[in-house]
Amino acid sequence: MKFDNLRGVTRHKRRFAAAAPLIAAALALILAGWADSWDAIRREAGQIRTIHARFVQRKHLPILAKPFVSEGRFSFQAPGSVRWEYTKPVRSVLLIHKGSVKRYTKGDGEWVPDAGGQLQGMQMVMEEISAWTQGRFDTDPRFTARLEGGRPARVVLVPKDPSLANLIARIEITFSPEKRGAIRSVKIVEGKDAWTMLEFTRAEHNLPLAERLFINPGEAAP
Amino acid sequence: MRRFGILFLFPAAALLLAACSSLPPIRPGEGLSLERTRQECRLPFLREETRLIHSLQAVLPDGSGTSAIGITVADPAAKTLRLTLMTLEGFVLFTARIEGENLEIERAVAPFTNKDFARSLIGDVMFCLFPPGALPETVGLEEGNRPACRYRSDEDTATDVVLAGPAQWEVRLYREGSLTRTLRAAGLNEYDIPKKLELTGHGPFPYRLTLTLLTGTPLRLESRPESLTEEEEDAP
Repeated sequence: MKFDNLRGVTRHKRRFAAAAPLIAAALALILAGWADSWDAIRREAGQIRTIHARFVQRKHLPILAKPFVSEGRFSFQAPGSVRWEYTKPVRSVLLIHKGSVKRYTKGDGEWVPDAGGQLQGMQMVMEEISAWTQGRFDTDPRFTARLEGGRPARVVLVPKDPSLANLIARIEITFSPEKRGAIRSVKIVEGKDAWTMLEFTRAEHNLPLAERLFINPGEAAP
Repeated sequence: MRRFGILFLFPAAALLLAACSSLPPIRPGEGLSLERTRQECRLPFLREETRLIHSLQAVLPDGSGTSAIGITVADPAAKTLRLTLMTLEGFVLFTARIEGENLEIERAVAPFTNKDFARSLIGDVMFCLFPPGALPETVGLEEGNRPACRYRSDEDTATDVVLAGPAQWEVRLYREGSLTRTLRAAGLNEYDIPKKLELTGHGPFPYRLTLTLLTGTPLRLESRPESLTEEEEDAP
């Protein structure tokens, strides 16, 4: 009986030895990912004309007992139209389309436009996100970009200017290992105890998106 | 010399009388309802150290509006307050703490970099959250026959708390006889914290600030998880 077992193990070993190169090749294909070089990222992201996704935003601050969680929807249409909409806990929407940037907050049943004091900064952030969705991570002269391969691969952006570094220590963009060209999360680190984590889910690429989605605050997302 | 002193006292007294006379009258009351009014006048204010998260909608003097998230940890007994304001997208605009008269700004982007602006903002938050005094100077009925309490912090400053309806209060701040702020508070959450506050600033630069309570919990009742490190959040 023992002998039979030993012979069985040996047979399995032999089969495994024969199959090992095939398994290794398959693993290599799975683990290689699509985001191992700037060129590969740009190539995959370059295929994307529109994105629609859900997101969860978790804000960590020393003053908070637990993260402040917001939820919303993100729509993007190349080259630079963005709809960044919060559905919880405060309904608001930021619209960027043809060079204009507007934010609305839902108050007493209607969308109220924002004064715009903070919008310049937000336009910059959203333009960054638009650039990332197109695979352009290493083109902004304000940041040094480092690509870290692996599964999942990620890009780390570090501000070059110390005055910007006072506001943002670094930004980490993690790619989806499963969906080619997709970003899984963005983490904006302000300091040791302060950071924002954005996680994207249910991302759909190249859906037809109506232009009014980037103009009307009350427009229903697809 | 003494005559000069008396001469000096006349204008001071006249000013004081003018200030007092311009306050709307509160007819003093008596009896059990008086004690009830006194208790209800304290209800819209914090009673212990509390952490609050509000959504803020501001209407500025030029008529434009803006919105933000305000996070506050306020202790009415110690008169300390920590405040962080951030955009809805999570970008921190202002972080400061005040202990007594000491204001420490930890992080600020314009216009919050202006210390006077920051102090005025924190003053407004304290007006909204902290009781105006330990005991009211007068308790009774105001002009509209609504129960009211008048608190006085000093000769020039009076705060009226009016019971405006079920779970509704109107708080008026007078400085030198002029109405400078009106606060309307409505609804209470499970910890007796107002669900909605609407602050109006009067004067040459009027503004309106609406604070909608998202969460508000006394610190002693919070279940605070172990603080998560960045690396832990990254872990799958």
